[in-house]
Amino acid sequence: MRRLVAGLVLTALFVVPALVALVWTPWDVTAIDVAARMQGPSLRHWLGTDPLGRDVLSLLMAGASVSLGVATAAIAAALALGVPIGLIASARPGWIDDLLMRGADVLFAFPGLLLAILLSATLGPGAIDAALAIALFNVPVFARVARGAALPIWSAPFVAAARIAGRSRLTIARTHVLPNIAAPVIVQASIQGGMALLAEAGLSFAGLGVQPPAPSWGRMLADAQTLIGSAPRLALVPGLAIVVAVSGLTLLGDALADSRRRTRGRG
Amino acid sequence: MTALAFHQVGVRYGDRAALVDFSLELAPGEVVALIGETGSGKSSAALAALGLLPDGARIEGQIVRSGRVAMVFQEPLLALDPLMRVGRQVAEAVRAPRAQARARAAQALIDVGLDPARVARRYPHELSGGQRQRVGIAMALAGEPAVLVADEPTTALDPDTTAQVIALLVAAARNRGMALLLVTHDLALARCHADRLVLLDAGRVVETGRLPAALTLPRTATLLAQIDHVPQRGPLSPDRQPVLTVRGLVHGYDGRRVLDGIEFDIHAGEIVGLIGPSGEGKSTLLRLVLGLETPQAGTVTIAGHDMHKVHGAQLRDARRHVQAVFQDPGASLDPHWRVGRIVAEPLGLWPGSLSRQATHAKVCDALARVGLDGDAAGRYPGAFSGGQRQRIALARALVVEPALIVLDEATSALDAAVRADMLDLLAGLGDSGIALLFVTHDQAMIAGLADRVLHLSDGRV
Repeated sequence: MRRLVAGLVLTALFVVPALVALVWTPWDVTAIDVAARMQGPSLRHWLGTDPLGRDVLSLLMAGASVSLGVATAAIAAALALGVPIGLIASARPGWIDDLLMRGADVLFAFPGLLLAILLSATLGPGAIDAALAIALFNVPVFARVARGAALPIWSAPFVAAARIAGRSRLTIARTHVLPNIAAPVIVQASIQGGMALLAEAGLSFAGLGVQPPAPSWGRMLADAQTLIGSAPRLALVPGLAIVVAVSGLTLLGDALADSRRRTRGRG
Repeated sequence: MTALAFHQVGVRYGDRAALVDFSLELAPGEVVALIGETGSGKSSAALAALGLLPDGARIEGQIVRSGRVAMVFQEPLLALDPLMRVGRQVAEAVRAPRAQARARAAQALIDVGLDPARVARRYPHELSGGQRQRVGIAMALAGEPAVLVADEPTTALDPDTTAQVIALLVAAARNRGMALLLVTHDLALARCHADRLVLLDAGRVVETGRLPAALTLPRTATLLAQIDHVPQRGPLSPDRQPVLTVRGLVHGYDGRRVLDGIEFDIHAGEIVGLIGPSGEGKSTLLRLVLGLETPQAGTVTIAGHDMHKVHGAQLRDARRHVQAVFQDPGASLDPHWRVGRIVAEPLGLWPGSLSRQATHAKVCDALARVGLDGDAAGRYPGAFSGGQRQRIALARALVVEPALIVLDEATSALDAAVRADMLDLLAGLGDSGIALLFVTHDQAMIAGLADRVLHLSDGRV
């Protein structure tokens, strides 16, 4: 319970500013004001300014919405692709199952960074290429979770009853199996969401993700790297933001998984 | 001298009282049966004796134990570690240095009628259900307990094995001067073996007494009558149309032949029992009759269609004529579906399409036939008791007006009173012209209900 609250609070701490940043930020993040460069925290700039005179708080908020957008899009795409793969694999034991799951294994064995480099080389670096790389990396995760959760459902008597009622396996997968595996998949999505945020920051840091002038936490870290001696605040702020966001989502997923185990134990 | 004493013990889960003011004393060597239906608090009493109540349970009163208390569990496969050899698991329960423990474990296995040379090096999944439960008992006895609590120790076993395991437990109690608390819903089992009977209902002791005198107490007598209940059947209809014809059915797995030339007929309105030892292919036969698997050879003919040859509309017609009710009413209904949708599911087999109103009318009609209100359709299965859920499962089978309903141990998970009602309901279905194929372990029950009983052994009828 306490973990659930902590997870929700930490998640809200970055989701709310990210949503606000879509319509409003304290300062324009693309406006360069060299006169106001490298200021410390003040009433005008709560978290100070960067070497180009941009407001760090505004950058952080805008970066949150970019990171959140990339992570959400990536997880949504991975869910849309991975869950049906896992479901179909569980519905069709034999060569279809083997084909799908070995395919997922191959994708899983591919290093994520390599995938990202490959994609940015072919598509050109950007937010879409980062989202695509993260999504591809997560497809096998959801395929496995969906298949693993679905297999025991297939031997439940209510599935036998549905087959006696003349339902096809694909209909059963959609109407009976999918609702019954939703809980573990949602839990996994929350945890993978945290990982996706981290991956996005990592890719942007390496220059493979979001490109300037669009702000991103990974870019902020990369920009702060050379100034870490003189202005550690510039690295600390996005670093802490990443820690808060990732731990929030992970805690949330963990707490959801826990409460699910408890209610199931009681039933 | 008492081995175990409960003094006004109460157990609460939140606001719900599972056990109220429960007092009981067990003498060494005594066998006491704690009888009650699902939710009567008997398992709470057993777990309280062991100090194994789950988190969130509050306990009041006092439990006095004169020595160690051990437990035999309901499902031996779950009570044993699947990755540990049996001998080591038993040795783990012995409180002694390793070399000594191994010898004592071997002796414990001998005491429960197992040959340590043959079973000690095996894993639990390599043993039969009865052997596993014997290992569970050996583990419990290895710690030389003063009290043994056995919680439904035989529900997972077939009748022959049940008798052996109970005899073993009672003998251990007598020989070792160990008190045995036998927790069960099965009065028939208890009446043959226990010294005393304690009947629980809704967390309270309603009757208690020495056997056999206790059997004449009013509540116990009612329970006995329910257990021995034989439903009334009308005369068999003279119209002896076969609804199911099985010829030369052969099936097996991994080169082992489970079914070897099965042949039988079932006629309209007939109730046919199917009995046989565990693992002799009863379930396989059902799956073939229901069209869930394709046989290696032979035919299953339903309503004039060969179940495994026809396709499309004909297959749907065959399917419409054979429906099923399974053992576990909790697992046979999708918890995420409302009852109305569950009952309506097989209506996809109905020839032609049905309007919303027609579907609703059929669902209400099917629910009424099993004695449930139409407004049950709007609720989820979780809101119903086990007996009601089994009625819902039966309504789902009835909604397409089948010629044959296959019942797989459909009453074994139900309490005595609920089961008696269910048997009456089934007998009524038989009278109305629906044939029933009833797979069960319960020979006394099926002898009372069925017109005919098929014995399955060595893959033949």
